[in-house]
Amino acid sequence: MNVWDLKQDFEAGVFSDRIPDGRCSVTLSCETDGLRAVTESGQQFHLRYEQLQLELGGASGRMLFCRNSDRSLTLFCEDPQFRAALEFHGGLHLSDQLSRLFADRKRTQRRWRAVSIVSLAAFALLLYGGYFGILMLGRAAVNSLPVTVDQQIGDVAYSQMDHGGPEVDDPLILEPCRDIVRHLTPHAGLAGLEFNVAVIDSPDVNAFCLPGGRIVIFTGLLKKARTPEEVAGVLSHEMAHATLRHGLQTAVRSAGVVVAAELLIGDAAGLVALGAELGQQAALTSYSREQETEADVEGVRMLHAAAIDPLSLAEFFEHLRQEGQDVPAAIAWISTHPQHDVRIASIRARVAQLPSQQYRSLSVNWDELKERLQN
Amino acid sequence: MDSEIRNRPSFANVLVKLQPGEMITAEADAMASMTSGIRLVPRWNGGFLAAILRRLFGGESLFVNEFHADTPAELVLTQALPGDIECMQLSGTSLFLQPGAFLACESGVQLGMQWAGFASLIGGEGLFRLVVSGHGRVWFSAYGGIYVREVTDEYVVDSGHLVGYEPTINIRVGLPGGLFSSFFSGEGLVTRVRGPGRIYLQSRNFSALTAWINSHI
Repeated sequence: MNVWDLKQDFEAGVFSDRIPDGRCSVTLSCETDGLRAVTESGQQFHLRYEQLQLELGGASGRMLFCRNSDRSLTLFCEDPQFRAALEFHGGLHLSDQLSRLFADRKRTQRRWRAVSIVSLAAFALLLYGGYFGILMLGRAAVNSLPVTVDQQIGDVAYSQMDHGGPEVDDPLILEPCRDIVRHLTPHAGLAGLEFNVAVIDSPDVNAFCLPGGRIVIFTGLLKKARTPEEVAGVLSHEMAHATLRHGLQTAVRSAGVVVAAELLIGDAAGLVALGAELGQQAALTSYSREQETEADVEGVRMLHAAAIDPLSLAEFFEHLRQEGQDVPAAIAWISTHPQHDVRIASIRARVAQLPSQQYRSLSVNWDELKERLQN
Repeated sequence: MDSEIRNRPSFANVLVKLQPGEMITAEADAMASMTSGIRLVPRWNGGFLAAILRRLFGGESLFVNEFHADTPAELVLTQALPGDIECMQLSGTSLFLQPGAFLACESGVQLGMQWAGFASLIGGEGLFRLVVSGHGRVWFSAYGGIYVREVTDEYVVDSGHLVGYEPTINIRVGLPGGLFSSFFSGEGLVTRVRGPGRIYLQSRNFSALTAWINSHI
């Protein structure tokens, strides 16, 4: 580097007992024989190059400290060009010191970088393992519970949640829905669940089943369905969520390891309280993609076992999708069940693998139900 | 501008006497009382982006308030936590402040934000640090009392006790002893500061208080 390109004066600081507060800012100049520092008040300090002891440090780690042998005077500067100026004026003695210091710093940085990467990787691994650990622990905990816990949570959640409309008590609407559920109940995969049906007067195309078997059907969905088998398709899927205990698994997952561990030792009080809380947020009926797929598979099995055509589930999906192109926001059941093309294809593939069976039409008062819904 | 730190150390507050034309910048919500003639001008805490950064990583508010006096006026500034307030005169020098410590400064002082590194985050001191620089007085506050330490070599500070330090101070996060003794002693991670320079420490740790309260709820 040419001497003319070198910066000669730097903003810097000084530590010395000769100034009132022991430190102040200075203008530092690299002169031919040494460093000269001048304070704002004009006080001057001088350090000869041959007596300089250098150190790197400061908050940034890049600050150069220049000390005399008894450390009574310290000049410090963070300007990146200060090193070059020191090397140029200080000769071989300082050049060696500087090379050693910056090489040490580079080594330290490399070590820190390696430690950081390893720590981050370990942390990520811990998170990943912890997540799946909680899932497994939650599943084991839920399976160890009696179904009465599901029913308690479902009852509390139903009493606290916003239903979105008044309950329908017209037997001409209620009874066909109950008949459909009665057809499916003997084929439910979890013994001991009692399925109760409530119909809510709401234009939403929706239905859900709370933990414990409380089924809620919206009149909007009944209006959209063309056959009772389509309703059976939807209800089989929703009932499967209850028999597979997805709501409880979601609750346990939300609560984490502590509640899961409590459940394994038989204390379900915390889970019931949490279930009530989640019920208010409708979180008990919001499932993961994996749970939706499980419910589809179990729903198809239930329909087949009940001698109801399982394709009715796929047909209702297709019907809703076509309708959904006009009013997607109003169709709640579609919006909570994404990736319909994949699901329809998956259901059709699953049905194709089933042993052949003579499916029956459901004998429910469907026409009367539709007529009452029109009024 | 005259100022006096009163009711030290537990419930410190700053009485500021402004002359016509003088101004002081203070953290949002720091004003406890003032004479009616003072004009209050809120502004972004160092520009929009810097303010967002300070809010997210510096524990500071989005806005700071400028108090302008057109006639002789008085202003009392205070902090949310019980504790002391310290005043430092900057004369072309800088000071790093931990998140939430800044209280007020004179007009010649600039507020900035600097990357503190992941080690600082792990040590519980945040990803960024506030830097105050320029010419003028700066007031900063702490939870509990404030004590000053001149560090010539290395000094160990428990996480959450460091309030401010000079730019010449190097900070590393580490263990106070061996792996097991560090965690079983309850000390966990500590901050290792290396001088030369001055550090400002608070006698109480707010995180420790919240942890203690949590354990009793």
